[in-house]
Amino acid sequence: MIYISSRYILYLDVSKDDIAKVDISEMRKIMSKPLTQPMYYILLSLREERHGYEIMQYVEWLTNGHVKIGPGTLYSLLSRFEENKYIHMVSQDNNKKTYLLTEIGKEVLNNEIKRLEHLLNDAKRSVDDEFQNRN
Amino acid sequence: MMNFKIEINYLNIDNYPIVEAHLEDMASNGWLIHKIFAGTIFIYKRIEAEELDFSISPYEIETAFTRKTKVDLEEFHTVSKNVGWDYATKSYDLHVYFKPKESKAVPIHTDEEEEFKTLEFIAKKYLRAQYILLPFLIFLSWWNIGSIINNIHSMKNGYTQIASLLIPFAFLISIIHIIDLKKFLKKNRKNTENGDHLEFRYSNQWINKALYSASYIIFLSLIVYSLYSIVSLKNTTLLIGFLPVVIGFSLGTLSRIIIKPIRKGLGFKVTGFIVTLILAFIIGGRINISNFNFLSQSQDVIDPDNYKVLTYDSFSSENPETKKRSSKNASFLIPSSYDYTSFSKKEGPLRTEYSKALTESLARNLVSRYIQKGKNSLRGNYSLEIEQSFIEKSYNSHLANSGFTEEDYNRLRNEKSHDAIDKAEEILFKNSVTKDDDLWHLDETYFLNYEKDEVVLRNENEVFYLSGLDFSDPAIVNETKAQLNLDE
Repeated sequence: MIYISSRYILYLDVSKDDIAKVDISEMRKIMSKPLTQPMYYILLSLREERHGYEIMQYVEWLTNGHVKIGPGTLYSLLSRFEENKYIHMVSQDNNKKTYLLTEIGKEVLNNEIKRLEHLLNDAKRSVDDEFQNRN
Repeated sequence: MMNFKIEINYLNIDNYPIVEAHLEDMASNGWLIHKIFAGTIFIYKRIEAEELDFSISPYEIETAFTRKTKVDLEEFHTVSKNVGWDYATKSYDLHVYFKPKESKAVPIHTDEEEEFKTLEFIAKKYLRAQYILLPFLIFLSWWNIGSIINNIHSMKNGYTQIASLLIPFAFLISIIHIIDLKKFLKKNRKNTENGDHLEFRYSNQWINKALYSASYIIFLSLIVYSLYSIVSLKNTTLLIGFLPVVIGFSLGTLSRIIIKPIRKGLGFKVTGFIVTLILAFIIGGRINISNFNFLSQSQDVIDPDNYKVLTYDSFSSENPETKKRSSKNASFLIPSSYDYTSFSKKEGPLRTEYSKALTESLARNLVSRYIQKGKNSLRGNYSLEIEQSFIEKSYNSHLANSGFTEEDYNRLRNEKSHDAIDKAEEILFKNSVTKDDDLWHLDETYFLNYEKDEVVLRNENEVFYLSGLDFSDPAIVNETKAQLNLDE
C-alpha cells in the first residue's frame, strides 16, 4: 500500500487485517512522518534488549562511528517512543532501564526500512538512467 | 580570598548558548558554576583557572504532571558522564554540563530537530504558567492600586507600598518572557521545517538582568520590612501572613517525596490538584485572624503613658480599663503609626489610631481617607433601612440616630424611590460627617457620625482617629487634648 500525504510519501506494507489489529491513532502516528536518523538507529538497536548507553555504543559500532547519538537526543527519543508505545521497558537495574521494540515499534521500523529501500532503488534507477534508456 | 561569587544573570531556553559562552569565560577566570537559583542568581565556586567547554542541555525535570522521575534524570546524568560530560548544576529544565576543552566527547544533543522538540515542550509548559500568572498579576495590581488610592491601612503598612513597586516589574518580566518564548518558537519551527540551525537569542540580556535585579532588591526590602515589623514593631500577627508559605512549602515537600515518584496517570494528578484546591478553600475558610488571637493578645507593645492614646483609666476611676489591645506599624508614607484599644466593663471599646505622616499633605490625604471610610461605614450601617423606608413607605425607627431624620424622610417620600434614596444618602452624610470649627481648634477636625463618637483630628502632620466617647462634650474634648498633647 502506498500512502501519499501532502508532505510525505510512505510505502507501507500493511494489510487491512493489520490495520484492524492496531489502534487507529497509533496508525496515524506510524504514517505521520519518516523517521529521522537518530530515530531510525535507536529503533534499529532496540530489536534486542538494550539500555541507553548500550544503544549509543551499538549505533557507533554499527555505523563505524559515522553516526553518534548524544544522551540528550537519546533520552528525549526514548521517552517519546515509550509514550507512543514503539518501545517498552523490560527491566530496570541500578538506574539503567532496558528497552525493547514493541509490535508497533517493529512495524514502524520495518516500514522505514522499506521506505529507505524504495528510496535507494529509486536512486539506483536514476543513476542507471533507466528513464533515458527505456527506448 | 572569597571562594564563592554571586552574580545576577539570566538563563532560559531561548538564550542558553550565550550563557554557555559566559560560563566558559568564568571558568577561564577561575570560577566554576555551582548553583543557579530561579534562572537568575548564579553562584560560582573558585577553581584553578581552566579552559572548559559547557553544554546546557534541556531535559524535562520531574513535576506532578510529567512522567519523568528522578531515576530517569540520574540515568541521564550517568550516561552523560560516560560520554565525557560532568554535571555542574541545573536551572529548572536546563542542565549544565562541562568538560575540559581539549577532551573529546559526543555532544549531548546531536539532533537539532529533537532538541527543538524538547525545547518546544518545555516552552509550552512555561507559557502556560505565564498565562496563569498574568490574570493573577492583573488582579493583584487592581487590588493593590485600589488599596493605595483609598485604603487607610495601605498607607500605614509597608507591605502594600513595597508590593506596589514589585508588581510592575513582575508584569514586565512576565510579558517579556511570553514575547521572547513565542518569538523563539515561531522562528525555530520554521528553521526545523527548513532544516536550518536553531536560532537563539544573543541580545537583551541586560533588560532581563536589570528587571530581575530590581525585583530582587524590592523583594529583599520586603523581607527586611517583615523582620523589622516582627522584631522591632512586635507585630507578631504578621506571622499569620507567612502561614500560606509554610503550608505551601510543607505540602510541596511532601508532594515531592510521596506523590511525584509515583507514575500515576494525568487524570489522577489533575483530580489530586482539584482536591487539593478544594481542601485549601475549606481549610482557608476555617482559618482566620480570630484563630490567632493569642498572637495579638500576647502583644504588649504600647505603654499608654508613653504614647498618644486614650485609655479608660485616665477618664474615670469608676470605669477602669479591664483589657487593652495595641499594635504598631511603619511605612514610607506614614513612618510611625500605632493603634490602641482600651476595654472596660461598662462601656464599649475606646479606640485611638495615631499616625505621623511624612508630610502635611500626606496627613491631609489620610484625613480624607478616614472621612471616606466614615461615609462607607454609614452607608453600610443605614442604606438598607433607608431603602426599606422608601419601599415600605414608612420611616424606619433605626434611622433616628443616623442623621437622616423623620422630617427629612417626609420631605423625600413622594419622590421616585431611586432619587429619594440618593438624596437621603447625601443628607445622611451631610448631617453625620461634619467639620468642627468651635470645639477642638486644630488644623482639621471631622466628626464621622451623627452621634459624634467617632472623630478624626489633624494637627500638622499628626492624625488621630478616635472612637468610643462623645467627642462633642467639651469636658471630654479638653481631657482628650490633654492626653494626646494637643493643647495649644
